[in-house]
Amino acid sequence: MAGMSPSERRLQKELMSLVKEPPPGVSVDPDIAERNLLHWIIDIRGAAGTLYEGERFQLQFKFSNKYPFDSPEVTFVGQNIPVHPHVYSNGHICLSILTDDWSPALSVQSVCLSIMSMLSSCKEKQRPPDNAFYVKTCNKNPKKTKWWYHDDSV
Amino acid sequence: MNINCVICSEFFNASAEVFATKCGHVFHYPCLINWIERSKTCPQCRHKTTEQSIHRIFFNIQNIDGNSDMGAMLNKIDNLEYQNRMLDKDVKNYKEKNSSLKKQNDLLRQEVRSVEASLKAYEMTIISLKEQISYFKSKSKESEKLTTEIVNLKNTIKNMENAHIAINGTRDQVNEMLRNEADVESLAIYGAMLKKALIETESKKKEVDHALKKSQSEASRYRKEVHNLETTYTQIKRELEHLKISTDNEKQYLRSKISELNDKLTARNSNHDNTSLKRVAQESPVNYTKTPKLTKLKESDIPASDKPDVESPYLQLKSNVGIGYGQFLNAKYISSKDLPKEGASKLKTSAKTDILQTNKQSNVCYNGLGGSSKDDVFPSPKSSQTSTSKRKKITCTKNKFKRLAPSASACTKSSDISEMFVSLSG
Repeated sequence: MAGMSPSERRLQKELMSLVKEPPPGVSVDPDIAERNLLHWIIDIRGAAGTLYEGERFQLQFKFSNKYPFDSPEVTFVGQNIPVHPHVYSNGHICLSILTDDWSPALSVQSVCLSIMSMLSSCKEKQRPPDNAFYVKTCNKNPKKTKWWYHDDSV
Repeated sequence: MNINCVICSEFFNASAEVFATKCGHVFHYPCLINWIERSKTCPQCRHKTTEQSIHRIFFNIQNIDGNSDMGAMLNKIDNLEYQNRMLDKDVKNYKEKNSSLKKQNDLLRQEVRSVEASLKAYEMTIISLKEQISYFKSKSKESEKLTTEIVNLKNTIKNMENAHIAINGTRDQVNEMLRNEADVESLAIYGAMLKKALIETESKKKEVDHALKKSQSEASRYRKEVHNLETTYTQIKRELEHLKISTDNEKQYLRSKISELNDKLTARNSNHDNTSLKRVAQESPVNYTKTPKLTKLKESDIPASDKPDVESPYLQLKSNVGIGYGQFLNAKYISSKDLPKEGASKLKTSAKTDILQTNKQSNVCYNGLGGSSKDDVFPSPKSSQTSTSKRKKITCTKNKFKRLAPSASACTKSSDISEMFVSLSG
């Protein structure tokens, strides 16, 4: 690990721990991550007993070289975007820890668990009320969006 | 106890600068400072944290049997694991590469084999093409030979044509040909050919000269003959005129006599007929002695023309007329010549019968001038007599006339002349 930047070393450690001891319902594609440590694709499964049981989603993590002080850019990608009040149809996720409430103590694994808990706490599958407008007007990078975290319940 | 910094997730080692927040969470100093610059919160519990509120902490680390620095050891292990993983990955990559290269190698080998096969095929074709080339080269050499031969033959043909022109062409053509021809050899050929042709023409000329001389001599001969015949013809004509005159005289005399007799008859009886007739015959002025002369002349004249003078070079007349006349003359001569040989007695009878026959067949007799006229019939005293009795009487008088003029030659001569004119008019 000599010659690696602190952010790369941390990402490497996180990837190894995620490959070695993945939390339930979470799996990482090590080949894509190892090819480029700053771009990960993580598969998550809908937890049993929730609205998303049996569904599979893909999360894309993009890291900057200031990670972990900068939060990663996390979006849903692929064919199946979960229908959820905090998930827009373009894959953007309205979640405070991904922007304002980010902390360097958080990790890829903790973010994945937060998103899974967010999906699990959902009581009704529906798009955000401003979905159509947001999808039309938003920036490609969700971190550039000024989020209003009005609903803390989910 | 394994303690690490949650920001960089590195284990704390003995030399690490470890700082703690008020809320009791520990981090590496650079990690914590880096975060506090962005957000004045504790990374772990979000408790308010400032640069002043943090402070350094120290650990008492006991070195037990080299296990002293667990954090460093764990870090090392992590690094080694990572390196191992990377190496595994490399191995995997290389294996993949190797397999792909092997596949490529197989493909290339196959390609090499196919290329070698095609190369062999090409070599075979090259060999066959080389053989073909050599064959075609030999063919081309042959054709070159043939073309040169053709050129030579054409030259010879041209020479022959020129030679033909030289022999047969006009002077201008020959001049032009010689002007165009610069080759000495061909000129020599023309000269030789011309010489040959000249010799041939000379020999021909000799032949032609010979033939000319021959024909000239013949022509002179024929001319001479013609000349002779003309002279004889004029003589005969003269004689005929003479005879005609004499006969006319006789006729006149006889007529006068007849008229006299008729006068006498009218005066006297018809008993004195015989005596008066005898007297008429005796007193006739016809000169029969002339006729033998004529035959003599003919006999002496015609043999001369019978033997033509071949040597005479002066006669240039040559025509079919001359030849035809000559033949006619010959025929005439033979017919007139044969007659005297047969003897006088025979002649007499033949001549008599001839005249009788001609008179019997028709009353036509030749007047001696190439024409003919009806036989004069003596005026008969009895106009009531039949034609048969008349004829008998005529023959009678004729016989009497014969007896009165017994000269055979006269008859011969008259018959001869009449014959001649028959053939002439015929």
